[in-house]
Parts: sequence; structure tokens; C-alpha cells
Amino acid sequence: MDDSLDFSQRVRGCAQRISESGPAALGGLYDLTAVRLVRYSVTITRNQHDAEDAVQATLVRVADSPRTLDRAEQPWAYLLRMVRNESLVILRRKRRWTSLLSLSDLLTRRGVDEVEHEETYREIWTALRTLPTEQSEVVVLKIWEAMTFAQIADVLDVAPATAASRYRYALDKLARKLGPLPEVAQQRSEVGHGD
Amino acid sequence: MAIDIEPDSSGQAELEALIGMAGRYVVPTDDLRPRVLEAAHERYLQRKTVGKLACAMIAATLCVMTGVSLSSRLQTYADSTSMPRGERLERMVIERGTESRQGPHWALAEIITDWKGELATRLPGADSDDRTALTARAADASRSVGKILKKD
Repeated sequence: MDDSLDFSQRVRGCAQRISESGPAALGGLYDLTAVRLVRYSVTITRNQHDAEDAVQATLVRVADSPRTLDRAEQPWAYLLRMVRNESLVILRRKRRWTSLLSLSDLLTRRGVDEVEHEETYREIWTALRTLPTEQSEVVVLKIWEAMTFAQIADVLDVAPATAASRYRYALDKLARKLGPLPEVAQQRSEVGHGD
Repeated sequence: MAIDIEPDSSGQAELEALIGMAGRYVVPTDDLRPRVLEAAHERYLQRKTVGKLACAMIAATLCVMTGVSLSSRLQTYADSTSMPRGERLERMVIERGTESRQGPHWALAEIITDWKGELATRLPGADSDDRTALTARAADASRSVGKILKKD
């Protein structure tokens, strides 16, 4: 089964538990989805505080009427759409002047073995922030959520071909912005040595 | 409709892999979880309170409406069944006395007879025979009163 479909079923299970036990069961849905929802919302709001507000508003709505999520054909796509709508509402309400090159609003985590990658991650997040939102969110959904273009199109309410072309443009821009990243260069050199 | 882009170069695949790894770099703040759960719980309590208030308001409105309707019907019933008194009774006695050319005592007796007869017809559960009997007994009683009054 497709990963995102499997994940959708788990989201549906959480929604059913909230329907049965009330908001006390919201913790399960939070633990399952919060990290993904926040990082998706951050690409829209470009601010972690606003992204968390959007996620909070969304999950409170779900706790209010969990049956809506339970009855959705694709609960995970539906939840992402809810977060997207909340993020856009917050974005419209609070026009923040944030520097696109600053990641100071983000709470980051790195494992002990990931210290050496931190600079690369920061460059990637900074580059993502410089993309137009409609392109960066396609990248997030495609790569981080492992969605097909048809599923992305469903979340964004656009044609699958539009989602695909946005993705292509976004990757071209990211490749130009990021240039030869140390890790990419390293991987290439390893391939070269292997030959 | 399945549209998927095949990585056109190893560079694109590497870039996608790197972006994929960077996805785990940003995490929610520690206080988000309790914040979300508390907000959901508050909202739940708020909805419960609003629901209770709405029920109480509906119940109060129904009580007031029932009370008003009941008191108005009781008032109408009380007005229609009570014995005429005071000026109204005096006026009725004078009118009846003038109409039937009788003295005020006899007119009063007739008014009482009519009133009792009317009361008898309103008794719940009383069939027409009972009502007729009651009216007749009321008429007898008022005739007796009339005789007593004439003797006086």
C-alpha cells in the first residue's frame, strides 16, 4: 500500500478515536501528524510561531468535529488542506516582515550524527523560503510527504500537470540557488572514485 | 491520473535526497502539544456550557409560554364561572326586574338560577341529562329562595 494512503488510514483511526473518546484522544493525532503539519505550514507562513498557531487551530477544529475528518476520502490530504487554509488565513491577518534569509524563528533539531549536515539543512531551508509559496509547498508535499502529483493537486486544488510543472520549476531554482553543495560534491566525488 | 517526474539526472535525485533529509530539521516547540490539548479541552467545555445554556433557555421559554397561556385560560374560565358581584350584579338585577316586571328579589333569584344552570352545563364529564337535572335542581332551589324572599 502507498505510504501516504497508509498514513491516511492512521489519521482516520485517530479521528475515529477522537469521535469515540472526545478531545482527550487528540494527543494521538498530534503525535502522529504535528511534525509534518508544522513543517508544511512553515513553508506557507514562513514563520514557526504562525505555523504552530495554524496547526493548533486546525487540530482544535478536528477535535470539535472529528467526523468530518473521519468521513473524508483521504483524511491526510484533507488535514493538510485544513492546515493550508488556516495558514493562509493567518498569513492574510498578520503580514509579517521577516527576512527570507533568516531562520531565527525556527526550532531546529539535529541528531549527534547530523551535526555535519546542519549547514546544508540551513541552506536548503533558506533556499526553500526564497521560492514562491506555490512552488515550495509542492516540493514539501512531493518530497517530505511522498505524495504523487495527483494527491498534491488534490491538496492544492490545482491540476496535476500544474503541480508537476511547479515542482520542476522549484527544483530548477533550488539547484541554481544551492549550487554544488558540499554533500552533493562529496557524493559525486565518491561516485567518481568508485569508477 | 498519474503524473510523475522521473529524475532527469543524478543531480536531481541527489538534491531530492538532500531536501528529504532536511525535512526532519524543523520540529514543533515543546509547548505546542499541551497548548493544543488545552485549547481543544477548553473549546469542548465551552461548547458544553453553551449547549447547557441553550437547553436552559429553551426550557425557560417553554415554561413562560405555558404559564402565560395557562394563566390566561384560567383567568377566562374564572371570569366566566364566577358569580356576578357588585355594580354588575345590581345592574343585572335592575335590568331583569324591569324586563320581567318583578321585584329585585325575584330578579336576583332568577339571575342565580341562570348562573347555576350555566355552571351545570360547563361541568366536565356531565352529559346532557345530568346537566338538565342539575339545571332543574338549581331552578327548584331558586324558586325556594324566591318564596322565602316573598314571605319576608
